[in-house]
Amino acid sequence: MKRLLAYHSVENIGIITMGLGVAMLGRAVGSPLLVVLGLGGGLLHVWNHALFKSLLFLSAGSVLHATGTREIDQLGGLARRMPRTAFAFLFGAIAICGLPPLNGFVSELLVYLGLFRAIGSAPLLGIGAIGAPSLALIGTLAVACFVKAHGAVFLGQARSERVARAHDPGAAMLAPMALLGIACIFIGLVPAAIAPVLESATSAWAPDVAAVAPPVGVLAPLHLLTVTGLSLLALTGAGAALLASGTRKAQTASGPTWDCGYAAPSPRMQYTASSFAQTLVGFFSWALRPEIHACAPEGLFPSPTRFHSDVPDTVLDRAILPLSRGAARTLRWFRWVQHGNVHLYLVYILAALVVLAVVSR
Amino acid sequence: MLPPIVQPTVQLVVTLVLPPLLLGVITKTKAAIAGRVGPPLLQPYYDLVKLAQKGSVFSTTTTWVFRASPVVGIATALLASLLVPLGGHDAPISFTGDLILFVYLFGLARFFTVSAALDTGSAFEGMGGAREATFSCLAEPALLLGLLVLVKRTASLSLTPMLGPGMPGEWQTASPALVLVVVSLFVVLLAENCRVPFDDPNTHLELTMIHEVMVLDHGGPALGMILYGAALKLFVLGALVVGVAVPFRTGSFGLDLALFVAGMLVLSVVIGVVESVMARLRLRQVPSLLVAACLLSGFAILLAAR
Repeated sequence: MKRLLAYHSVENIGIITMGLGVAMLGRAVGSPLLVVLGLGGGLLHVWNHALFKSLLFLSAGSVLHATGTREIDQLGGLARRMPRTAFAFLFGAIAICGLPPLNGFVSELLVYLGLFRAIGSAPLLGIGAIGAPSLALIGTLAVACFVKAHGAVFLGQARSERVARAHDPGAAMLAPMALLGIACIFIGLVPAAIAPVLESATSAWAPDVAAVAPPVGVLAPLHLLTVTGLSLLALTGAGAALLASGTRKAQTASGPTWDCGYAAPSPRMQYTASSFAQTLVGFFSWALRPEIHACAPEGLFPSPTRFHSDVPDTVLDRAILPLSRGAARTLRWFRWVQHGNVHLYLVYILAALVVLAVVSR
Repeated sequence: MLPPIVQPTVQLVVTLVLPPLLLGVITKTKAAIAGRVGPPLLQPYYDLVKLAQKGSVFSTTTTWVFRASPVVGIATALLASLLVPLGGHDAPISFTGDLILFVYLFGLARFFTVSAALDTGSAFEGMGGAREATFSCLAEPALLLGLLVLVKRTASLSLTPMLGPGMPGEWQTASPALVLVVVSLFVVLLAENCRVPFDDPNTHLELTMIHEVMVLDHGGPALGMILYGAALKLFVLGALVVGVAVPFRTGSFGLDLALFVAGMLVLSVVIGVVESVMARLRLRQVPSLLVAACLLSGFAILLAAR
């Protein structure tokens, strides 16, 4: 679970770099709007990322503390045993996907506006036209990943006995999560409050541009984001009240999951995290190259068989580690230089001094 | 002159009342092509009333996320409908960058729908959720690319000017790009609303469903809210397609609204024809069709940039 969150930081750093890139393009082309929007979006995303990533890591730590495992495929159904941690993780997941009305949406909106303004000017059309849909693709991949993570850990049924002993942590662990969550929704609902900070940062980085450009509050609709965020919450509240009145106690019953009439579902039948991601991994299999170890059942009365699939990290496991192993093997040839004889080390120092004296004359 | 409150009120009333009729028109068209009489046109309204009066059974495996998903679906679709101009006149809420809010509101609804599917702890609903999450990865960039063409042509970042009174002029100067955009947005409409060729709303085989299987465990008022939310989503995305496709803006609010409603009904008939003529694509071919929609919009951007 923590590994998943760490890999997600790569995605968010990418969004920050996009914002900074738009700002630098704006400086190169001489467009103050691009500088303000790009830098504002990038810096705000740095701040937002710190907030929601910390929130997610704290709730993952709380899960680890309660169950003793980080493996997503051994958890499940934790929301009923740890409701507050589940809510904190859901909150952080909605923020990291950049969904309204939380803070991730505000910074992504600023970067989008920068990219759209780039489309307006002819030399940057390609960058904007490739950047904006890529950002949308990144956003949907993030949604897929966090729905998977949240669903596999907190929703559904427990996949192992470790869940049975889980309980919500005490106030000391919940209070920081609550503080971070409040900060996330504050920035998401009232982005105009942090606009002055972004403007002072922009004027520190590019004072000549910042003097000319209109403030962030004019370029981006910060006050209307407050209005739309609050109306979204109000509509959700009204809908919840409507549903609650329609499902009063007298008309509501509970029972096992219907699942189109399946008689005896077991927790092992649920979708696991890797099965959820299987179609996406297959779509990108030219880059990810998943490894599948499977023996198909054979014969009329087949014996039990196993299936195992694994997606090694393409960059780390397939590129960096083999390269470094190969480099270590090659450089072992130079091992004879480090023989431990102090007299010869003194000769090395003398030789280096002589070479330097000759070369630098 | 009418007071300024009349226009948004009429738009709100049309937004709230019209969507189930679109579903009825689609079903009637499919029935007519198949040689049947089919259910009455107003059947979706009767269904909503019936579902609102039924009791509910909630699974013991589910949490509050399951009950939140129909609510979030309707709230996001309603807020998105307030951003779209109907018939080319001002939307009730309009600001720079509202097209991003438009796209991401559907992302929020999808987050909760797929989470609710995983909440039931069932294999079928997890499968539907996995498929929905995967195909939306390609549908959202296609939608954004289509909107980008309009951004480039109208040099504005809000839906109201993009689909506004300048549309007839755009059709005169850049009609090839706009034709490509209409086709691409139509494909995205079919994908996001789970219509053939992406998903069959009538199938009852779990292995072939995407949206239907995610809502298997909802019943009663919650299912009614999901049905209405799906109709609203069809209305909102259809309003985008009709806003681009209809090249007339008369300037009078009543006439434009009537043209818009007529356009929406024609769009429903077209969807019904497409559903009757085509079969559902195999799941391996669905990404290809969505990538094709992205490419169409990409070509449209190139055409619009000249």
